[in-house]
Amino acid sequence: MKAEQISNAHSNQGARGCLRVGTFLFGLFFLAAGLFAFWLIVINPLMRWNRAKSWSQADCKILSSKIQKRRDDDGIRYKAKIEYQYQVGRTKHQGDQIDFMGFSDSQKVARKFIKRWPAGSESICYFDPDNHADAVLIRSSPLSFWMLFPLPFIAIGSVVIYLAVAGKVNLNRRTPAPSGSIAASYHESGFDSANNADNNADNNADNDADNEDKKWSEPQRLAPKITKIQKLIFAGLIAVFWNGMVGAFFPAMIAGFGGWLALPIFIPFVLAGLGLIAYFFHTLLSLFNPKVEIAMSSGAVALGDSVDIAWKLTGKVNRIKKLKISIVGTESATYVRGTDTRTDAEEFSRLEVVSTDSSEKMEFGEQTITIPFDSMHTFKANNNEVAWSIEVDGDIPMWPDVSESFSFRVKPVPQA
Amino acid sequence: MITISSEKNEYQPGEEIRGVVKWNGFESDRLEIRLIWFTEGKGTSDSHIFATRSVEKASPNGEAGFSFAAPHRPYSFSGKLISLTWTIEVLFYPGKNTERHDLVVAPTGAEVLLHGVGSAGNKLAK
Repeated sequence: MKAEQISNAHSNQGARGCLRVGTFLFGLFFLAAGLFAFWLIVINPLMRWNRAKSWSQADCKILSSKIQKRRDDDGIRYKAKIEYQYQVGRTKHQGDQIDFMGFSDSQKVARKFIKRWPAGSESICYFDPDNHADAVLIRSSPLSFWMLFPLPFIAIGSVVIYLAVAGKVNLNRRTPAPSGSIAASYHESGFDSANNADNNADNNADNDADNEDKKWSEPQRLAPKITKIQKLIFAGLIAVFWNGMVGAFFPAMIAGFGGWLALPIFIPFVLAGLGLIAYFFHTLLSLFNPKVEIAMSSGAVALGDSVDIAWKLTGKVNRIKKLKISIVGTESATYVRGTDTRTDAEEFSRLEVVSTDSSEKMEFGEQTITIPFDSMHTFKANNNEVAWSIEVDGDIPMWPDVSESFSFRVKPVPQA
Repeated sequence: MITISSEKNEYQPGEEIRGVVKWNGFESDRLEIRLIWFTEGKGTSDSHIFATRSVEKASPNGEAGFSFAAPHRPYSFSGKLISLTWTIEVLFYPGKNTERHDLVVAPTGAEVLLHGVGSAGNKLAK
């Protein structure tokens, strides 16, 4: 029976470089779009509004006043179209600009404008003394929810560019091989016609792992997987993005969907936004938690070997009711479901380092732990991983708990 | 038909993996014998060629021996989400007919069970 081909010998180096460039360009596009929208929706109207404080006033006559309807993929859009005439000196001018924002999709707002400036009515308009043809009917501040619109794009673009430049792009998120085939492609390994000699194919992945083990095989002061500041920034960006989108589109969507009767549809989105704000403040409060430091006699421990682990907590340690430090082994698998990429994780090993409610023992301590020899060493591939970490959990009543994770490496059993 | 046989199916890291590939009825310019690991389970599959042996202008019926050093990593393992398997894979060019023969590479001689870690009785194979 013909077996499925399972080789996939593409080097990761080329893929890593292309993905990082692609990610950078994607982030750049988002950032550029956000900055352009920010100039268009925020800066430009505010600059014009500021200049307009010194504009001159003129009597104007409303020539026509109607609502323009435009249909696109998102539905029907409404815009008030008001044409007016005014005179500066002996010259008559016509204008159709209502305010400095220059757009409104809301039927309610359009009707408000039409009602305020019906055709044939008289009103006041404001014109630029340096350019008489430039005029508006509303000179007041253009502040509106729409000004939040560019912020998520700027935030996302900035984060994505940072991730690409800082080398944080994770190759685990990649397109899987075609269904039914484990292999993505063959690597033409090269053919030795003369001697039929054994060829060692690309062992870069194994060499990389060994090199990483060597780097870690010395006393280490571990860094947390994600710092509190990074968590705060991430929480803030997500909250700004979500609430910015909801706030920018919420009023227009309410008006477009038939008024306040449509409110129940949007309640979950608003609640999610409030939850994200709460999470942001939860993360903010955790900045004031005791600081945790972890050190190991070796950052890469072989299966079956022992390692000394020391911990030090500074700050208001007496607020912690119970402190637990554990060594945890986790397997994780990344897969694509529909258009989403998901990662599932399952803990397979947990070794207690310390569990105490004594503040003195929490502030400083050390323990020797043996990694089971019949366990699995650190393993990392594009979509699957076995990882080891030290988890620190401190229960603080009525306050965000201490919760930090520090990665280290487990090596294979030393060969005799 | 292609058959792959090895002296045994469980190896410790560093041990020599020896075996024979036999085939009949295959016209082939060359064939490759590869030592590979691959993952299965919930995650998208990963795979990696560890070593390759090439044979030139194989006759329609024949056999070829192979010998690889069992790698020191990664171990064969099985968890709730992922399992990793080592295998000898044979490819005939052109046409790319293939066959494979699974192995275990682990210090105990048995695949590492992630969720059975620390159970009594697991000792290094002598």
